[in-house]
Amino acid sequence: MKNVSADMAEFLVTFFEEAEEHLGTMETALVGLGTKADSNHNNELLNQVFRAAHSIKGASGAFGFNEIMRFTHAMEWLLDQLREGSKALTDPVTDLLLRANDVLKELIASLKSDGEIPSRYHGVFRELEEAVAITGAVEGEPESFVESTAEIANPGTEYRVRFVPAPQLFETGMDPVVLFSELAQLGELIEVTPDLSRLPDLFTMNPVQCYLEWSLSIRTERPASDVLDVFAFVEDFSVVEVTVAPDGAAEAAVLSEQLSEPVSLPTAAAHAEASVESVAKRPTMNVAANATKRSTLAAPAKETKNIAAKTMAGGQGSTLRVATESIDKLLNLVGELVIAQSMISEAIKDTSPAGRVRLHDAVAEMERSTRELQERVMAVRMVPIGSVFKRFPRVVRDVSSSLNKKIKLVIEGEETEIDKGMVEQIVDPLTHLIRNAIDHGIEPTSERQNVNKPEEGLIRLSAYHEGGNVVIEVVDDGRGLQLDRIREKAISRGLLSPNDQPTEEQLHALIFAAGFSTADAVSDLSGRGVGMDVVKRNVEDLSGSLTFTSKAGSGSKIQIRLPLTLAILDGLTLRMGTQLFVLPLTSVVESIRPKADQVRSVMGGKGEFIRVRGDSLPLVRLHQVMNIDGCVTDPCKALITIVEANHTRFGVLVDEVVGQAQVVVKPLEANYRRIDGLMGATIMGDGRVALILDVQCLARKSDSASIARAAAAANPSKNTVKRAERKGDANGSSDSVA
Amino acid sequence: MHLDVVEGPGRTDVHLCGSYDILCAAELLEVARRLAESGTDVAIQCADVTALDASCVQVLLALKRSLLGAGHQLEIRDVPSSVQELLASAGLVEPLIGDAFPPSTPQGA
Repeated sequence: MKNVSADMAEFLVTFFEEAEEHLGTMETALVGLGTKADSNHNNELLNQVFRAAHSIKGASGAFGFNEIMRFTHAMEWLLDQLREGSKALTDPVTDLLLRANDVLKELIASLKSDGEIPSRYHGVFRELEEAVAITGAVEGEPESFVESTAEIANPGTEYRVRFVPAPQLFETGMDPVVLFSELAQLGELIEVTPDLSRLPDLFTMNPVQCYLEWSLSIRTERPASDVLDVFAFVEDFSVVEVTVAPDGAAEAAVLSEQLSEPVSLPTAAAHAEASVESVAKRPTMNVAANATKRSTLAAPAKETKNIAAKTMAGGQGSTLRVATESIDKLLNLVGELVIAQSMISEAIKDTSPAGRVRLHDAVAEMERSTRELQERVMAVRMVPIGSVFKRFPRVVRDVSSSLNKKIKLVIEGEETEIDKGMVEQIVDPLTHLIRNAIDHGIEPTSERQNVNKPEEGLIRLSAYHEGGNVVIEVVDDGRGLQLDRIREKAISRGLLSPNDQPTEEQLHALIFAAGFSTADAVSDLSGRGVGMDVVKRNVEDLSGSLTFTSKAGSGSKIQIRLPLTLAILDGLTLRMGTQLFVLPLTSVVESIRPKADQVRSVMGGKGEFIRVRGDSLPLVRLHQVMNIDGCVTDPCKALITIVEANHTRFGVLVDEVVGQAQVVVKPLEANYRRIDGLMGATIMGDGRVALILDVQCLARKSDSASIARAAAAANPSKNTVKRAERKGDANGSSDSVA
Repeated sequence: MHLDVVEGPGRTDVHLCGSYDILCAAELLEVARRLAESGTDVAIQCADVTALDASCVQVLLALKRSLLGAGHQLEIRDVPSSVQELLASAGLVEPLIGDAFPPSTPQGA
């Protein structure tokens, strides 16, 4: 059973990942509905939604996830009516399908956590029922989207179906038996005859190969394409032939669907379909008729759900699809490494000068292969940011609709690649920024008309690579920030004194102070600051930075700059006592050994700063922060590394700068626990463990208030806003200093 | 999946319990091979089976053909109605539970 669970877990990971992809496809297509008057455009989108829902239904059926299967089946009914034109595509219908999409997401999320059925599941299910106008036959609970074969008023057409699964069908996780129960929902299964002629002897049988095939007759009022649709999940692994019976409603025709060939309906078959559809009526629905079928799936589903929850809790929830070609290249590189290793092993035995030359060459070859291997592995982790961006048309649609604003979202650079590890973590900050842009950046329509702006507001979401970073921009053409009012607000909250003369950039930075902007803040700013500190911190947690620019009346631009990867970084290795630390090189400005008159203490020794070329910078004593004994404590005998984080510079007192190195970041959480001030650890070339400093956290972790006070006392005009930010952190930040 | 095998004089009783699908088809096949070699009739109690997919059905079908060929019987008992209903939709109840093994149908028929 343990092995069974392990195998099931693998299938489930794939199921969840594919379901999320299908849900993303559905949402994108649903948001696109109605954006063009072209009916072909809408039909294609409806087909996309239908295919995605059908895929989820089939896969969930294979796992026994009945709630998902019934729900997607209900969606299919509505989508089918929309495709056929028997129901009009209106905004409320689109909204309903989007809500249904949300419920499906929640259902799948609940499976991962072994949670309950989402509270709005039944409500939205009823809405779907009402939308397809089924009444009367529904009994009891709302899970009633199953056609009753007994109540089909119109006898329909009789089709003959020959279904020959490929031997490897079972390996896909599909059980052909399930297809027959789905077929039975289309109409009356007149005869089903399994063909056992391929069944081998018990002792030569391969248990994962399918040896069964079937011939069957079904009478249904549904078109032949619906019969073929039942086999959609096995189309790459089966031969399916659908033939209208000779005495059927139309002349005989063969509809064949074979190994990866697209479904094509010959003309005769199309005529047959048309004639059938012209007299077709919807079958009624009946809960009781299907009650036993539901219980059939309930027991295995429960077991599967447990495995699902354990699988996701066990951290197996994240997978990466990699092209075979990439894997082949990696294998080649590993092969080259093995060769280089053999060369080194041989060369090391030869102590002659020629042997040393060979050894040198072999090591150089190994270094080249190792670096290339590293680059290729990193490339494997990169995924297009489009997977993140595709969520935002929905966000814009919902928020703009609720605010009664017209907003156009332009997405650019979807192909820009980002580390897979960052994908999920960047979603929330971007969602917040876009909501803010709609809510508080873009003016109401009337206000835009008054200032001669287009009625439709514009939000541009873009991404591109620049200088080893991924840059993401959110730009709006709204009202922008009114700096005078920010200044007034900051003064009223004590973040600025009336005599301070902050720069425009420093005023912009105020919106990232925790709690600076609240609901009662000035109207053109309200919301801009709510949660912006969290956005900023999320970005900083990814070792990224965030800048905000705005022009009153013209709009705002938020730029997020992220490293290409979190897995490897170029670092500056430092020594404190016997412990090694690594500072991300991107944060390091310089290292100096100060003279005595450059170091000052303020507030009775509570804070220290150093003067560097006219600037006063807070000083952080790393040995105090990390509680390390035996370190050099006199700044004039040690070294001070100047670090820049979040537009703020400060000095870090260290014993020695060891050198630069490219290090592989190993998360502490995985092996120990999270520690404030550290973003991970790495193993150096000599085998020692070095701790990687989290610069953003370090700035907060040190006695930030005293640092800020010291800096402010030393240089009020340049550090006023920093003080405001620190004050904000101290007052409201949840990322508190340990 | 869980199964118990009790060998008696002239008949081997098997009790199947739980869900039988592709993940346990290999294990079921191993048991079926031992049963085919037991030289006895076989009775399989299925009252506690919650699911039986095609991969396991075909193992049982092959077992049945093997036993019938050796002059023994395979009796499959108490298949829950839910499982039976699903198998019936695929036309597999009679070949599996019926007395005789159906003759092979020519391919393409």
